[in-house]
Amino acid sequence: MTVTARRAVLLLTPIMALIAAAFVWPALRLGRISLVQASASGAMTDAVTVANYTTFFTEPANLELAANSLLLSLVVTLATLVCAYPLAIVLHRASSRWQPLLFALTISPLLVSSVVRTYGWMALLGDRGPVNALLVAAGIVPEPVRLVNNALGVAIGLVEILMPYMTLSLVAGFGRLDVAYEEAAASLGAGPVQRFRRVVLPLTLPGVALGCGLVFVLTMSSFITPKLLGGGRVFLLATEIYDLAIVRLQWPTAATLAMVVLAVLGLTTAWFPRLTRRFD
Amino acid sequence: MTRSAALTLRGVTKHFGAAVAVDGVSLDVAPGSMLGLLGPSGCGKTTVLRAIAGLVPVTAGTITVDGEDITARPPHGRDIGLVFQQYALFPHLSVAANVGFGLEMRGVAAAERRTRVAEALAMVQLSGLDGRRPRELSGGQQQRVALARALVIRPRILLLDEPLSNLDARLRDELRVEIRRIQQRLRITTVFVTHDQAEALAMCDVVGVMSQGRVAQIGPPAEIYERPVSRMVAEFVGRLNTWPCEVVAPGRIRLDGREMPAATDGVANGAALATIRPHRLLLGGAAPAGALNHVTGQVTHVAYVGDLVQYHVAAGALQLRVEAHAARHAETHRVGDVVECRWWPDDLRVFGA
Ligand SMILES: Nc1ncnc2c1ncn2[C@@H]1O[C@H](COP(=O)(O)OP(=O)(O)OP(=O)(O)O)[C@@H](O)[C@H]1O
Ligand SMILES: [Mg+2]
Repeated sequence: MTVTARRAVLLLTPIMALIAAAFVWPALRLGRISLVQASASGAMTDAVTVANYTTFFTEPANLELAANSLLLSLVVTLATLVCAYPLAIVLHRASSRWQPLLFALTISPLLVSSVVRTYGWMALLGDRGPVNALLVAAGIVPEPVRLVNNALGVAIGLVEILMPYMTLSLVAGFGRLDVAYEEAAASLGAGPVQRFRRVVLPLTLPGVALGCGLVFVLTMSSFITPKLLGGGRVFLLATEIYDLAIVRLQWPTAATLAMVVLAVLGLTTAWFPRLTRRFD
Repeated sequence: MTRSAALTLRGVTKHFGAAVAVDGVSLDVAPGSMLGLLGPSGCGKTTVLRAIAGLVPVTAGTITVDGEDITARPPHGRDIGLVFQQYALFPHLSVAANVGFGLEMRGVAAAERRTRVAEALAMVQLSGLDGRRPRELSGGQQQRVALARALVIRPRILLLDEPLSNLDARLRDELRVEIRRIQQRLRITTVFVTHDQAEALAMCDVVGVMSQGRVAQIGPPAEIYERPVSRMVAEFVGRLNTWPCEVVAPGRIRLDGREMPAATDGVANGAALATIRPHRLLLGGAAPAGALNHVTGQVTHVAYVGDLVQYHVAAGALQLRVEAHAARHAETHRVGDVVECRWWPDDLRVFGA
């Protein structure tokens, strides 16, 4: 082994050990549980079976859960991207004098637990909350609209909660964006729209991929916000896993769902970076 | 063929907050000619170029191209090619796509674009590198891609911001000739910014020397070099001996206690500075009869720099720096030699102290 390779192994050892103990090992255990056959009473037996998976994939309700989760995650990811992108551009361009303050403001929501912020959104978005009051007062809607206890409420809450992650990821991936390229494009005759489409967007794709990958994964695995803002009416894989494992104590089924989510997340994290490599 | 355009700046001024980067710059660049903008770091050269390109809004003044006022026009509507000091090639696009970018923005069809990109790359001798990414090119190659990218759109005006400053001496010499050749062939009105005086004098039809946001002098290279209007210009465009002296009458000065003729050009009687370029000081037998002024001194230092020999000569209170061509049969002197040093009176230029 060369010196650098040995050093790399040495530097990676602590985190590898932690990941092995705290993630790989439990994941393997989970995989094992997903292969357990439960007896009629719900007790786990020693028999190994793939029945849990066949049940999952043949049960329309489960597929609907998966579709709900994927759709919500995609919508939330896109909405978060659209909200965070301009902010990230501003942060990237801010002079070094203002940047620290702006960064602090961006991450300041993380100082408040997402549970607390979710309750905040429940109050804001309720039928008699300030948002509806404003909408009605402004004459935009004749009577209060349903903003909580449905998928819309969940999406609104998640977008706000995940904004800081998206923003920071975007800025982290904006390294190649330099105003000089935009100036060069302008001097070559590119108007604002073309500059964005041909120069800014391609150069920021690494950040976009990073942020979208992260927010997608976080949405897929979030369950507190969907449970609270969904009011028990939004059914997702993550909330279902929670119910199965904690409320109904059907561990093998819960483990099966968890393995499916893990597979989706694994595929997502593998795919998103490839999106940008095309432009490299 | 490019249509040559005239570029005119009138009282162009740019303030950054309280700082004045450009202070009332007026220039005329004749159609098809090349203006060299020269000056020390921070004197406002880049800001002038960026104002012409429309990348910084001016505080005051007007910029016209062929009599048309473009001061308020956005950069993408100006049809002015700019080669950035740091190239600014699009890192995500191939060489061909970089060069073709401006054509694409102008809606040129793909087929014509391909031929014109190929032509432009051939012009800067980069054929065959079309598919490379900028980071896979050397500095000189990137430089030439940037040049091709600006030239291919056949802009009315071409602006070059220290385009050679990051290159080694040999490549710089080569590209200098190449840029000038292309500029003359296309007859494209060009402003070339540099802080290398030799580059400006050698390449440009007209040279402007800037200082603290203003144009100190503008004119043909020989005029700038031979008849600088101020000590600053004189020092900036070439090496210089500078001695304190006293003007005793128009055309006469007292230098180190001796009276002699000199080019005083309206400098008032009293303390002043006499200046002369090192190669205008002639040592010993190199001086033809009639070169009037002379001092006698002792050689204190000799440096051989290939094509030149540089001498330091101490003559009374004067320190002389002398440069002589290292010709095959030229007389050479050694440290300690006593030499006679002569010059033509009008080479000794006097500026107010
Ligand atoms: N965006 C800006 N904000 C504030 N001051 C600026 C800005 N751009 C330039 N300046 C100031 O304006 C002056 C002129 O700058 P400019 O870049 O035009 O100089 P330059 O002649 O090109 O120098 P160099 O040879 O070092 O490139 C400098 O004092 C610089 O600090
Ligand atoms: Mg500059």
